[in-house]
Amino acid sequence: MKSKLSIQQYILMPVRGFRAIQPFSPLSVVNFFISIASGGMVSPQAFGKKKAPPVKMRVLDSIHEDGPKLVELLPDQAITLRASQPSVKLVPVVYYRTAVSPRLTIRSRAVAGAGRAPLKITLKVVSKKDAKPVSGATVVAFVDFEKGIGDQGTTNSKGEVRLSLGGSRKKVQRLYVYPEKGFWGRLKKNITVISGTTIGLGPLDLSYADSLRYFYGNSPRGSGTGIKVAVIDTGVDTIHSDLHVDGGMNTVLGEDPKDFGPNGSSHGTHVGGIIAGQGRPPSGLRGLAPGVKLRSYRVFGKNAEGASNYDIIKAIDQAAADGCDLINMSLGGGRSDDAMRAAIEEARAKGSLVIVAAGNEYRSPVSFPASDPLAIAVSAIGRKGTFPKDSTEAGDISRPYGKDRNNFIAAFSNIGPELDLTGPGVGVLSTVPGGYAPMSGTSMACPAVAGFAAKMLSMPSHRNILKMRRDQARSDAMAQALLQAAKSLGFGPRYEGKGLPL
Amino acid sequence: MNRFILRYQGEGSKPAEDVNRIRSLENIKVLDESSPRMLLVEGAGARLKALVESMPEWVLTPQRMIPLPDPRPKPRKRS
Repeated sequence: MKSKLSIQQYILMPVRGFRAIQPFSPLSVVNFFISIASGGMVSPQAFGKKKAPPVKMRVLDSIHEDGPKLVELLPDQAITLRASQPSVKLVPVVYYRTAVSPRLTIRSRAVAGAGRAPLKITLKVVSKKDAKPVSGATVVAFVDFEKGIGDQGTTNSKGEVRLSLGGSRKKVQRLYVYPEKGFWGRLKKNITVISGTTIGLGPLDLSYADSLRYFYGNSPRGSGTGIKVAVIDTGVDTIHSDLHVDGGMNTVLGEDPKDFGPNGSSHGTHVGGIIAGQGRPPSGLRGLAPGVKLRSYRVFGKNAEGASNYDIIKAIDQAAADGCDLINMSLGGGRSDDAMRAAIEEARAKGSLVIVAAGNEYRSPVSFPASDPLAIAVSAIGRKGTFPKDSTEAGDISRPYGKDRNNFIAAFSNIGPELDLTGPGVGVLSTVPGGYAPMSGTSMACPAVAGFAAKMLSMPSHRNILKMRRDQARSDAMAQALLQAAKSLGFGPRYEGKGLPL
Repeated sequence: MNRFILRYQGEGSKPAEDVNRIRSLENIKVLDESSPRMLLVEGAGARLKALVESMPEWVLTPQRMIPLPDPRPKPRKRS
């Protein structure tokens, strides 16, 4: 396959500080920076590692012989360099522009007409198995998907939801149903709905081979033993039969620090189950590393939809202080900030590897803190055949497809040169408070990678890394081992980083 | 009132002397100092910025909220 990648410019820097000086940078990195100070093409020998794969890179400018370099290289070569030299960071060169004011858009008029209240349509959601009503399901109906025109609501105890769609009989371009637990979601396209329209949901079968189990299978019970993993999220359910939460902290200002269970959202519990679920199908679900010590750091307040960067930074500090080997952050968004960057840098300096979801803004740039050079940024892949054809996951199928045409980069996944890895993140089955549910997002791909890392690091071949002193060299070694385990699925580094760890 | 995070990047815990300098700023209220290396404060950003410029081992960042990640499509307009 012909490569369509073009050379890009990066700033090459040591991971800590502005200049490569000991003791903040290993001697090999100091020597590497000095060896390429004169500019021009870099020979593979300059990396000081005989086993390191060759990297072709042009040094365009250097601020100081041991300082940042402006370099040019292909994105896949950038990934190779990062994998072989975790003590250097590559920051893509960006160009700022003036802020152009956004164009005003015309608001569409309701079909019902002026002065008339839009008619509501009552839809009913039931189980396909026994036609019993499904309550608590979120129903989202778009009459114009591109323009985002529609309505949404939640089903009541009768399984009913009333939506304003601009008429009593309406053509709906897309109708999504997201149940809380126990069922697959449902996507229906181009249907006409009237009051009384019924939508059936397929019950979950915990033996089903979803994308996580397709790529990783079911792990042995002891996988991940000896590894401590932090989940910085909405809180992990401490009473779910498939989960054992070893400890944690609630860092939300004004809340009880010991209340690190769910805040009202099932997100953190789902993430925790992907890493450390201890059940066994068909009665339960197993994560990738059920032997880990799972710790929950809750940063979202009770029923809050946002987390403060202050609470997140406190959680990163606490997780590193608690000796967590891996820190999973299925969150992100907004501008980068120096304090969180410093916290990630310090966690790395204490031997903890920080793994972060790339974000779900539909091909937007990798969000912060995943974009931080010291974070392992994870995009989401899906695979056709690992979810029902009529489920909501069908809406996540998008180009590009991999070498195996059944694999795809999820439509919602953010992409960019900051990506390190990809993970299964479409229709992943895992634990939620009181049961099980499928969820999709880079939020799910991130713990898949964290779980894989825990499983890998607990194997005899990598135990020497765990025995290392808790410092930068240790987290570098973890990053290096994880990145070197990755295999490209043929999407290219902008979509998959170095690929899927296998 | 805006909230800001002050993070100490030097060795060890945040120095009490530095914390006192921050605390003594007019119209600045320290909301949380439970973290060994951070403070959450409320007040005028300009004063804090000026002080932090004289304290090279500290960084100043506005507090902000990060939303719960959710890839589900949502209606932007009611029909």
